[in-house]
Amino acid sequence: MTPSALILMVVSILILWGGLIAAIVALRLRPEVDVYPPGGEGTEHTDAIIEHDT
Amino acid sequence: MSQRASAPPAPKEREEWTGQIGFLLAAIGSAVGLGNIWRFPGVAYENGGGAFMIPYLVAILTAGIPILFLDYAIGHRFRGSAPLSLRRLTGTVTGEALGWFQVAVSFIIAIYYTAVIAWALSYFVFSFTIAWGDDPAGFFVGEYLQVGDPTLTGGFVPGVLIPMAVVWALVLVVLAGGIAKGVQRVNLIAMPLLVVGFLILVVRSLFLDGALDGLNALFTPHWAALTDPAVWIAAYSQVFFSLSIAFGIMITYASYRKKRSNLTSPGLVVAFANSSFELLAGIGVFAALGFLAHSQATTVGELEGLTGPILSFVTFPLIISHMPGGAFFGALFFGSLVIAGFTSQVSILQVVSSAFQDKFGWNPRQAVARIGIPMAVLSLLLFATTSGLNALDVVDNWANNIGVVASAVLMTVLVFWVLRSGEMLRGHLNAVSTIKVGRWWLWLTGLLAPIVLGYILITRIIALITDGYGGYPLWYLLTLGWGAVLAMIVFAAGFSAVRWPHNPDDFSPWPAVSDLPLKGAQR
Repeated sequence: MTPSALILMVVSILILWGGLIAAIVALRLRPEVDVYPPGGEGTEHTDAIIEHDT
Repeated sequence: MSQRASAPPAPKEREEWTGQIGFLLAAIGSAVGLGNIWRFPGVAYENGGGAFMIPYLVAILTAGIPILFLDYAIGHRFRGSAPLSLRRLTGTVTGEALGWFQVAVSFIIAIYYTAVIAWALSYFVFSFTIAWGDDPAGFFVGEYLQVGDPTLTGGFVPGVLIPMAVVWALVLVVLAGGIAKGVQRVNLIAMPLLVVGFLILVVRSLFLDGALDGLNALFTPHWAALTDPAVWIAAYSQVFFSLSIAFGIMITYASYRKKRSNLTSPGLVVAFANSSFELLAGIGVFAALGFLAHSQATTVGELEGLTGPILSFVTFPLIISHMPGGAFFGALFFGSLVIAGFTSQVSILQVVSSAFQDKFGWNPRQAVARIGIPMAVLSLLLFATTSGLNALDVVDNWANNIGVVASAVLMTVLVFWVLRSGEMLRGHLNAVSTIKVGRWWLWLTGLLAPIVLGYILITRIIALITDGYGGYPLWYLLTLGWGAVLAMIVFAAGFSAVRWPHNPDDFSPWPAVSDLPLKGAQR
């Protein structure tokens, strides 16, 4: 491969696949915020759209 | 909540992904589709080669990811399909109509996309015997598709009808299973299978004679391309279409996440996974093209059929015919197309299914029976015929270039300029996400995106009006192309005019606006 093509392929790989790995690591390290705003959990907050018995 | 005289039945909860991983695999499965494999490599090659990576990366960062976040914010906060979420966001029927427009776009795409998956399925089987023989082009258009002149009706082609029926049956079964047991489960199996299969394919390609020449052709930079606006437009177009944003899919998928869910951090994973896969595809496809050029004693530059269905169903069969172990390679390639296409198809159909479920109170099985099956029938009638390929070509061009892009422009303008809800949505993202989104997001999604997408839309419309498309006769383009757009508008107006059996606005978004981390102007 020509040097410039090789360099661009390697750089592309580093940025995109590297970006993917970085994003995964970031998500694993901090899967959730530490404090959520109040509410937003459990069925008492379910936003039922339909009430029916099927 | 509405008062009732007697004790009401327990409210039905919205379906949910079982967790972050379920959502991630489904979202990636949605984004990674046929375009990642057959569109990106050719687009990169024709728009600067290695130099294309610069506008491509800029487009991801300034449009793809920001709009993806917008979709997530809307779906997650308003916990509805596109029509329901946009209705709740805007408090208007206009918002709902835009959502139905997105559903219409998805409806139309789903109807023809299955045909292409079916072709890939057929070719998967053909790989084992190299059924296409010496003339893959003639085989594809002639014996397999039996393409006729552009007419509106043609006879059925059993070789397409049967695999299409199979694909529809499988997709509908998945949808009937619902979000966790259907959609998520299929992605849980399909995504690892796709990645492993495709990796094997790419590694195999790299060992073919001439592979390095192919890689050279793709990655050699043509820096002058960076000054050509068409290249930047191509980059934004590729990212936009590849990520499946702004036509309802990601709103729908995000609406099935738990309330307490991280949005931006998984979003980055989805965006980079999508791009990583297309880069991998670029490497694999061009290594194989390098081999083809080598075996024909020519160069990649002289080859034709480097993108789209022709790449997949004519050029790749040619490659397979020439290489040792071609049958296995073919099975991997077409198998990958089937899987990538199938999981994308599921997401496109989920947009439609969710919209009807939300509005009319159906469950997934009812939606499949009442909408899915009629769609399947329509799909088979239109596209499993001798007129299928031409029809598909035209409808696809209008649905994507007009329908999807218009939807994106309308949505960004509506959210950021008409409603001025951008800051509120940013607050929503930041309230639940680990990676915070700065005010730059408002500028990118509210200003840059509509300008770039609007420019793309207008130039495409002008080109279609002045130059037509594909050499097809005008009446054909009017009926199938512009006709499709008209049908989408009528569909959107029609379904938003239908009354809701219940009150969609009886809803409180979480977190409450007062709990959002907003500075300055509060919405």
